[in-house]
Amino acid sequence: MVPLGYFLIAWLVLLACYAVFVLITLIQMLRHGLPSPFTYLSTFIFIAVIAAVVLGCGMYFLNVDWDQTIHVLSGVTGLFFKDSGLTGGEAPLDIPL
Amino acid sequence: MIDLSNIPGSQPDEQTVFFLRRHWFVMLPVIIGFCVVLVLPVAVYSLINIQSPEFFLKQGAFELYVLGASMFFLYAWLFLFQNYIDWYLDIWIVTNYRIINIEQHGLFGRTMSELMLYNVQDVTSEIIGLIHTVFDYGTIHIQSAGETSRFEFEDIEHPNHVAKRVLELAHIRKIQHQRKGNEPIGTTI
Repeated sequence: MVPLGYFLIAWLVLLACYAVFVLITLIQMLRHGLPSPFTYLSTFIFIAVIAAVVLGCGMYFLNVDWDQTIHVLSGVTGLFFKDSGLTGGEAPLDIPL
Repeated sequence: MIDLSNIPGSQPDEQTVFFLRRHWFVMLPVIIGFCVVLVLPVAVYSLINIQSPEFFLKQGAFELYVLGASMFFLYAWLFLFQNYIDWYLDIWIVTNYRIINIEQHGLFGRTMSELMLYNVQDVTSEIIGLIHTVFDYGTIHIQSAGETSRFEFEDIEHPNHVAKRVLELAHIRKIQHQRKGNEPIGTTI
């Protein structure tokens, strides 16, 4: 059982790293790119898309209960292996010889 | 166009003849790759829904998917933009005095070099392959006097026309250079 909030923390850490990369990229673009409308337009589109995604996610995450816990492994294995019908404490079937 | 007065060593009567970038077709595989990558989160969502429709009904599953998919998209978008920068910041400028070569290598590598037109010895244009021929883009190699390294304009539009014009400009500049009392290039031992 893993609290969902842990994944949010991991997401925020990745977002912080992302912000650093974006900052470096923007500095490179604005420092070395020619001062033309196309440079500013492409930079604006780049930032606008990032802002839209981050804000959209942020709005969605506001309504999520981050205290809930999830079964990571059971969720993933459930995707690949069909339920056999057996539960943990159930005895195996008697197969006649 | 670029303001040449911002570039060091510019002459008062210097004019831009060509302002060159790689052909847009070079960016196409990157854009297609990005579109494919963009479809991946949606494809994964659809696949999971087909394979196990109850998966996203589980507690926290959809939230986990949104966390992963959003981060995946953001990094893919950054990757695309960095490729775009790599393309956009590779510039070759031909003026009536010189050739300026500005190349971006990844995010942190940048090369700037220039070659005076009177030093140009040989210009070779190269269009190899079906796509290059159809879209008329290719590479120009410029050999300068006394230099082993060559200037390369990679994947530029109409390379034959550009090569011809560079040769003409180099010829004019050589004559003017000699008239100023300089020795002809390539004659010194």
